[in-house]
Amino acid sequence: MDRKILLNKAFVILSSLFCIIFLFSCNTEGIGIFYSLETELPVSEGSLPEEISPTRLVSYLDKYYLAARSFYSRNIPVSGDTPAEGWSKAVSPSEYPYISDLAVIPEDSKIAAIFYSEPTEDQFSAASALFMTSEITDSEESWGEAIEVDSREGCTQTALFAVGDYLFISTGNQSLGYLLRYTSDYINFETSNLTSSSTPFLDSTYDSDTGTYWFITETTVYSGTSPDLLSENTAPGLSQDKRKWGGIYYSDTLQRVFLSSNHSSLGIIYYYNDDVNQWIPSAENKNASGTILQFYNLTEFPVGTKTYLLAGTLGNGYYEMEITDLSDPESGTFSFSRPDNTTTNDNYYNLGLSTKTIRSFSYDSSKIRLFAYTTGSGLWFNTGGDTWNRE
Amino acid sequence: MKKIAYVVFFLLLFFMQIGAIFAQEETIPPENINLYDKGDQIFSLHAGLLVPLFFANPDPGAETPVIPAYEHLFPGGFGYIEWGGFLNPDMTLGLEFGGVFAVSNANRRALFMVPVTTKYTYLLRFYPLEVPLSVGIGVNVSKLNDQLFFGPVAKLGAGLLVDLQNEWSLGGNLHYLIIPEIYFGEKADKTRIANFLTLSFSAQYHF
Repeated sequence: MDRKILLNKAFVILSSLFCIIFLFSCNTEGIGIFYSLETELPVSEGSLPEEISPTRLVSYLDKYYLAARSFYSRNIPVSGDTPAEGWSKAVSPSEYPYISDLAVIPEDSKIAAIFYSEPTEDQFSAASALFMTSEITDSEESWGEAIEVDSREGCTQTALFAVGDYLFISTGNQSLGYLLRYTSDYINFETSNLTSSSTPFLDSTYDSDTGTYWFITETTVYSGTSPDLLSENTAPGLSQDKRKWGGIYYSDTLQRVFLSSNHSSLGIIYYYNDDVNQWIPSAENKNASGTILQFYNLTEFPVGTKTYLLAGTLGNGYYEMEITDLSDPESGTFSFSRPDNTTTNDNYYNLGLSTKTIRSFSYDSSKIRLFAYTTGSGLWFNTGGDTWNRE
Repeated sequence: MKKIAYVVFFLLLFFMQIGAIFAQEETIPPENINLYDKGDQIFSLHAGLLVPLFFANPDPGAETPVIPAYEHLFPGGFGYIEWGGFLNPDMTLGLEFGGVFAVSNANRRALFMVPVTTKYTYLLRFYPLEVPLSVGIGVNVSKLNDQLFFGPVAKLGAGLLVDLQNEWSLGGNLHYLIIPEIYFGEKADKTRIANFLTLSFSAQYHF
């Protein structure tokens, strides 16, 4: 009898424990471990190192060129698949073995690049220089001589923007401030009308509908119809401590400029309604655990008959919003969501790309190939909304 | 060659030990044979092979209710430690704790699981053999890439141990491991119940 009572008690305790465990079962992120294994597809072995942090990918002539501290190139595949030969190191100018940015000037058939020398302990002291060429060969000589952009001593070139009719370059350092310089003949550089900024220019876009140039630094938005008519834009009504921009992007589909916040307490992407000259904020965007998303750069990604706006995030992969039928929504009435199976498949979650930092994108419309630049987790590509693979 | 010699040597020792026990069998009266009593304890080590069986999708409308797990995972390995106390000469109640791993077929992703179970064992005794029949229930932490799942686990098992008469028993165990990963709401369709088999070499110390 005693044993029976003991067993009954043990049964009650164990079943209660089991019920409690069920109640507290949790996996807020991801798509489920066993489901993930069930739907996992093999990823093609990339030829780039897996830990690189790409800063820019461009297609020029018959090749892709990649700036990811080292300078890489590969032939553009004929089909959407990765060709057997893969990526290899491309030639840099002598004394400047590393690269920080790239830009293509299609009208003049030129490629521009910011290269820098062996970094010292203080990264800012590495000498950088702008180079331009019409043909990259296997010889260091193909880059020619460095182009002087900024005569101020100790200045570093931080970013290139080939937008509209100009090539812009952000140049300066912390003590002298950063200037936005530009060229249209790709030989002589002029300074924009903006006074020096305390932080570098991060991103740029060109509104081809209104002919407006847009630039952002970490805390400020500038716009203007020409490089000498730029002015600080009335950025969304935020206090100075809430201004931390992640990226700015002009949507050809919507003919609207989007601005993303990288601030840890906002989780907002704005669009600029130039009918009323106002920034319209999205709803607050959070991940499945309730953490506010910190956005980076954006891109459009057409999949089938729909077009999506993708926004890279800090540690949450990318978030997306269908924009095909988006017509100037009201403040707080639109939002970005985790990708469903339209712009990717389950492998996006299976392989952990959903928890990586994606800083920016490049889209090759001729190959319907979208590239995602991660921080420290390599370059990924997706062809036509299928699956993500490593480059 | 040396390895083979070592293995043969230890197998010989093992069988000699068993042989010695069987040889003694006639001389020891059954009532004197190393019976356990309430309050006695055991400490066991188990290590062996994990065989993925299938993932069950409990959704009644699922197209594929049973997904072969062995097509998605390679066989893996595991190691457990177990402590138990005798409730009476035939039953033990204890805790089992260990680590399980397997690797995915597609991209060699490592799946780690740490089950901690309360384990009830009933011993069938055919001296010098023991057949432990066990049932365990507890918590399990599964990890795959950045995903972490905390949930329940249940296991059913049977073994065959040889009492070596020096506080040690050696043998093997076969366990059926059930790991439900249950979701509610919009992720309910991701619910799966994973089923594995574990085959282990087991060493048990009685004290």
